[in-house]
Amino acid sequence: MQDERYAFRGKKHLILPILFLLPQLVITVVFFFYPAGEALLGSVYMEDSFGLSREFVGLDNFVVLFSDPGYLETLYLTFIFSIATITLTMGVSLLMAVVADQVHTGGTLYKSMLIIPYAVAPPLAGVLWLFLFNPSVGVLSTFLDGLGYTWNHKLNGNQALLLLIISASWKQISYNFLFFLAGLQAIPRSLIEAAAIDGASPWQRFRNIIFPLLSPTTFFLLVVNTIYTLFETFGIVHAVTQGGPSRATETLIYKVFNDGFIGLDFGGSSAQSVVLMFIVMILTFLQFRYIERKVNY
Amino acid sequence: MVEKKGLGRALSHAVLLFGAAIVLFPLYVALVATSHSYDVLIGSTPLWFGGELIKNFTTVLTQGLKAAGGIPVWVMMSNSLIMALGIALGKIAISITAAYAIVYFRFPGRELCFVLIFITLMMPVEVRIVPTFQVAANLNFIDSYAGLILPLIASATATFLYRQMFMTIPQELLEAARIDGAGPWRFFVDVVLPLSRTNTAALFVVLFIYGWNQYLWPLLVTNQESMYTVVMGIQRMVNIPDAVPEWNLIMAVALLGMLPPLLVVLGMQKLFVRGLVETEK
Amino acid sequence: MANVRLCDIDKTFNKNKVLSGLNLEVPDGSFMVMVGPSGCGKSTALRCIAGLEEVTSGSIYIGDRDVTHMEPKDRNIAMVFQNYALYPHMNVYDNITYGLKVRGIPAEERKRRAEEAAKLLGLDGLLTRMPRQLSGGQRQRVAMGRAIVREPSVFLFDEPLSNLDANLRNQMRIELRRLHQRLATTSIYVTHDQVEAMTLAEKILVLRAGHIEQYGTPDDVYLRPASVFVAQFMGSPSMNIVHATADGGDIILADGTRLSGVQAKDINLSGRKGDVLLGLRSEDLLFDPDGNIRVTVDIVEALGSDTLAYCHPMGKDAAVKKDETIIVRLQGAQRPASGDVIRLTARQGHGHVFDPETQLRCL
Repeated sequence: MQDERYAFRGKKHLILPILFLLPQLVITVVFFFYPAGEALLGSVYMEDSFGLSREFVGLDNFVVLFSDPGYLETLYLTFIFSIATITLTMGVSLLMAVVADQVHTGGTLYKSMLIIPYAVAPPLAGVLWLFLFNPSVGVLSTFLDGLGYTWNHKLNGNQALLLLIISASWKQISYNFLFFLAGLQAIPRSLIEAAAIDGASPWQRFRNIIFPLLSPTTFFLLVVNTIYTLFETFGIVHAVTQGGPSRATETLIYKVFNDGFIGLDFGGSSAQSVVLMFIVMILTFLQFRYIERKVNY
Repeated sequence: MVEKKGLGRALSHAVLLFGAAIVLFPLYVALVATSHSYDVLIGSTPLWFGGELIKNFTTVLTQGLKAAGGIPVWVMMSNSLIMALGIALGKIAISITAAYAIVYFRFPGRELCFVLIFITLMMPVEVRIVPTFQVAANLNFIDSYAGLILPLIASATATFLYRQMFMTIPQELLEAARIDGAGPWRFFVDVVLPLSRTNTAALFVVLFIYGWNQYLWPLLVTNQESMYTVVMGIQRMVNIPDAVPEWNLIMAVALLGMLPPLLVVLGMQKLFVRGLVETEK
Repeated sequence: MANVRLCDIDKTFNKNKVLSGLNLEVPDGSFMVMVGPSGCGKSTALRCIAGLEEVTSGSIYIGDRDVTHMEPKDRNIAMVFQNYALYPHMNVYDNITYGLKVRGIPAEERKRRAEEAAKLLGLDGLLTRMPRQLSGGQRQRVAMGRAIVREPSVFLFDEPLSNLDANLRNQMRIELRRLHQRLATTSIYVTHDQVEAMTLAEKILVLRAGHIEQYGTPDDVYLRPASVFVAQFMGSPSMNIVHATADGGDIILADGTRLSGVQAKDINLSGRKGDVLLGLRSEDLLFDPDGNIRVTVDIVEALGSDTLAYCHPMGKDAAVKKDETIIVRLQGAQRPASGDVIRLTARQGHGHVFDPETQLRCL
């Protein structure tokens, strides 16, 4: 009947909403807009080596950034790391969720076990796996040694990256598992039963009914996992490999940290921050577009 | 029901057991390592418990690792606790009020506030880390709890959740309350807060874990070792120059560092799952 | 206790005029029902009286007070909502007394009033229950209890029974009447259900597209509908309306049948010649072998107590509109079959005549 929600209006009702909004607005402006603005500004200035003066350089920082083979390597590396981590974690979680959805006995117990990694902070997950793969005392590296395969992620860049991928995927299984399970449980049983009556095999039921109906969840997780692999895995990289050996595991976020805080290159690091913000903005946009579409049909 | 029988069911359990094993194996090995002395761990990889479990936990809690500054881990854990509670409670407080203002009031500039807040929805602190650090430094936030907490509550996820939740409270409730004579403050206290209780509890669980597990920000904003959080402090112990890491103690710290969130996740599993799935949708 | 007056009320939503020029007075202590199809503005009118909407122009008086710009809480009204709007986290007692608590009425007085209302509504044993533990009918009673304890000068009801099943609805309707007889508080009640309107109201306001079609007693509205709209809206099945011609005080149907004296007493046909609309309620068409109206039976609906026959007019004349359906209410034993041709007479003095241009009753 009414196109607007009923609400408190008018001059009389002005002070309370302002007081209620103020804390969040202040914190958002101070710790979000101002720094984001600084990063944007910083990305178009070049500071002299003493930090005394700065000069407007337009998009030069970006040009420098994208013509730096080191940065391009980092981009490529981050891409590989993300794709591998996302594939591994989503694959395992989906399998677990599909199976857990069908199990009657012990379902809760399995679920409790599978959500444990959620509680483990990324760097702690990294340290756990670091210990397992420790070249001298690790259980798994020793085991691999026994098979005749030498594991030393401190020397072998690929092995270091693999170690990060395993740690990052392990940590993220819980999250994906819970969302896949919730998505699966939201699919009406009758649909699956109807397909079974139509003669679809379990694989066909999964491929033609369950998987398409799960696509909103899958897409959502894809975005969340991308953000996770881009940013939240910083702790894993920093605690486990510190970007090494010889920058073989230097991801985008690690490079921002390294250039900004260790290398003290504010302009370059700002430009990198802006690139990251841009990526997040695209992801956010995609997410919202998708949510809207989902709502509309 | 499309039932599984015999072999299929066995296969299902096998898959889940395998998954559980992957999840539990690192934790098991960590616990085993904690139960041994430093000497045992040099050159051997025991897979069964030794007798030093309590001793190693006590050592790290009260003395920390000498090679890594010797800050007792209980200090780090209390820092973590303060940070996690501060982030969870702070975020809830600013979010529930902001969402209330946006949903239940109409005033000039409301749309602008809405946009300003929700634009931050998916921006993790990591993207703007350098300038945020400079802000914190200018505000004298280094080595302070305010510095650990405040920058991390600047995100709109909780506000968004509350907004969604408020929109599902029937309009008539507000109308009835107004006819009953309740103004905006009373409606907030008497109706909206009690109705948000379950959501708030679920959100608290998720935010507590989020806060406890922070890493990059504590790494930047703390210099004094007495301000370290446990999740952040552990890296100092792993990466000691020119020394063999004391894995038995490091694993003890890792286990202690994950214990509070783990207790929360397992103890409040229903609430946590609900909080998680709803916050993100 | 107070009367309610609306003076020239206009209400516009986003350039859509929802109410235009509403003028009316609800007498002190009466039960007034606003009825109309959905979107006619009845709920908006109620919400304007409650103060939940600001009127665009015009004034509202409750008693002698101009309440047009007052907050809802200052208008001394109480409202019962369609979905009850009970506070889900408060028990029945707290729900009922919340309004008193906000107004700072002492606990003892709150208790006294709540217990009194509970007794009146049969909620005695339920005061500590939560709303989710109550049935629909019980929730409805709690919602009424909340209104009663306030002892307001006006009760407002927004389709309060429409979420109940048919049996409960009938029962609650009777309880509402009993309650009104006892409390005699001015009540304004919105519904889209014309049966509720007829049974509850002392006065009925028929609204259509934001303006008043008719305001009067149930008898006025049913027996002397002011327009084709009211005639068809009130009563079930809907009143039959057929095209006819007026001629010297008689009415001639499209097939040439001349009807004398069927029109109600208040209808004035003197001097009227030409096209009119004749309205006949289904119960005013009588099965009569000697009747002069011939119709073909299309569908027969047996309702038990009586039977509805959906008929098409028959005529020698090609001008007869075949698509007009005439519904006839027959007594239990009379059961024509589909395809039968039957004869009817119109009851004397019960026909309604409307102007085809203005759609208004010919007075």
